[in-house]
Amino acid sequence: MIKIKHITKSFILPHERKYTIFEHILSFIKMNKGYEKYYALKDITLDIEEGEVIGIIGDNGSGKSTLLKIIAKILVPDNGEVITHGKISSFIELGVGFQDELTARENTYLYGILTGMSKKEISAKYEEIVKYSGVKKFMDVKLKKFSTGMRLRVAFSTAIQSNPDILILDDIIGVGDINFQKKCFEAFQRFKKERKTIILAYHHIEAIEKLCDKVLYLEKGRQVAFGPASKIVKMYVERNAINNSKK
Amino acid sequence: MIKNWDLIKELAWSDFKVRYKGSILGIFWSFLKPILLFAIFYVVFAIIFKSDVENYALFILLGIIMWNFLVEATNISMNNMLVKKELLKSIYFSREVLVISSCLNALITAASNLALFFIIALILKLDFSAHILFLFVSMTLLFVLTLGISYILAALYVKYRDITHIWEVCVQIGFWITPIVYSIGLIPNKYMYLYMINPFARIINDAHNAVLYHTLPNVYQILITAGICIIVYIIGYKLYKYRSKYFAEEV
Repeated sequence: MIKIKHITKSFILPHERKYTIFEHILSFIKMNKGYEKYYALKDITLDIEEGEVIGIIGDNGSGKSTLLKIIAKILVPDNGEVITHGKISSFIELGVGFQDELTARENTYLYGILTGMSKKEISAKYEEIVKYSGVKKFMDVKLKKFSTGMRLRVAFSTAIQSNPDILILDDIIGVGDINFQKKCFEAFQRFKKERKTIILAYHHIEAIEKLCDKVLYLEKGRQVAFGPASKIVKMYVERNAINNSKK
Repeated sequence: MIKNWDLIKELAWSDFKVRYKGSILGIFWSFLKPILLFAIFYVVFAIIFKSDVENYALFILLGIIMWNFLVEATNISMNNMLVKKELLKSIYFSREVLVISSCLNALITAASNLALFFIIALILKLDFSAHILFLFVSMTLLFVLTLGISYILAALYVKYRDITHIWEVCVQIGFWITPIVYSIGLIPNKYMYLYMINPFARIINDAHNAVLYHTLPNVYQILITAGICIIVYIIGYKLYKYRSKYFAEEV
């Protein structure tokens, strides 16, 4: 169960990025404000029940990723709070933390632990991970020799072994070839069957309608609507059509 | 906490492997730096300045290994905030893990260097005594202190990248106000209380006395040293913990 209460998040957008003490002093002396406050999310409130699959839709820059990162505790909101029960695994990007100089086997352990598994759990599931990834022959090869697709498969096979109560996915099911997408879809169905709570942002609007129970519609950081998937998706499509015809 | 420990170990060990895997000499590079420094200082101070410190070779070697641990740990800690940028931005984990694993990474190097120190001590026929066990206390204090400083530097580094230059100067100064290449006997008595504020001077001096000269500091002095280390650690931890909320957006 997840309770999201009145979440507001702003970012400071400096005109120039200041990285040093020297630059900070300089801009202080010049007395230029040099930044703008930008609201990525404004007053978002919703409750998510256990086992629900929630989709987040909206145009680019509407705050989808920011909301996912706040639920995953990567970002801290300015106001409001998020109450979650259970273990959260977030996949904002697949394969972060991979080390090119290490072998695929070493990376599997590293990535598994990063995504919240214990070393024991990974050892127990190692054979399964290798089988699923389909790169068994290359597990002792350094990762830098791997193609993008192979890396993705290692990351994905490891990721789906983590056993979270809440799964957060940011547009990652859209990557890879058809075969990979099929595997993603299967894994997704499995998590759904196991009554995991899943929150995902995804650009493919038909897929959202098919996969999700409920949908949250964001526009420029504001919550436009939250409700049954088919209804909200219809609303999103209609509003977009109106906006387009206005142009 | 057990999961964090798994993560700390995995990060420290994988970073350590990556650090030396790219080169054929591998781990031997980690010996090279302290040995080279040692050779330079030995030539300058023992041969040119004719230092009369007893067991002078081992004296500088031990000091350099301990000081080198501080330098490496802080540098790796700061650097790791950038190298692990993507992790900070897309995975939630206790942020303290990054600094602890960086310091452990440096500790692996320090431990192998200390092993080398004892091999050399055997060859030079150092008179060993049970006082040597005090080195564990010294290294523990050094680790806590270094961890505290690394927390401060890593937290600041995310926002102020030029902190590395400032720290470099501090390290240079620190080296000369710590008894590494000279013995504490050279310090005039009236400045002694000032000199002894520096916790590194206290730790390294005690280590020298225990390992090379079979004397231990009194309990009262150890408690003061431990007190300073713990205060620095708490300040560092609090600062890091507070700043870590914003790492994902600032890094």
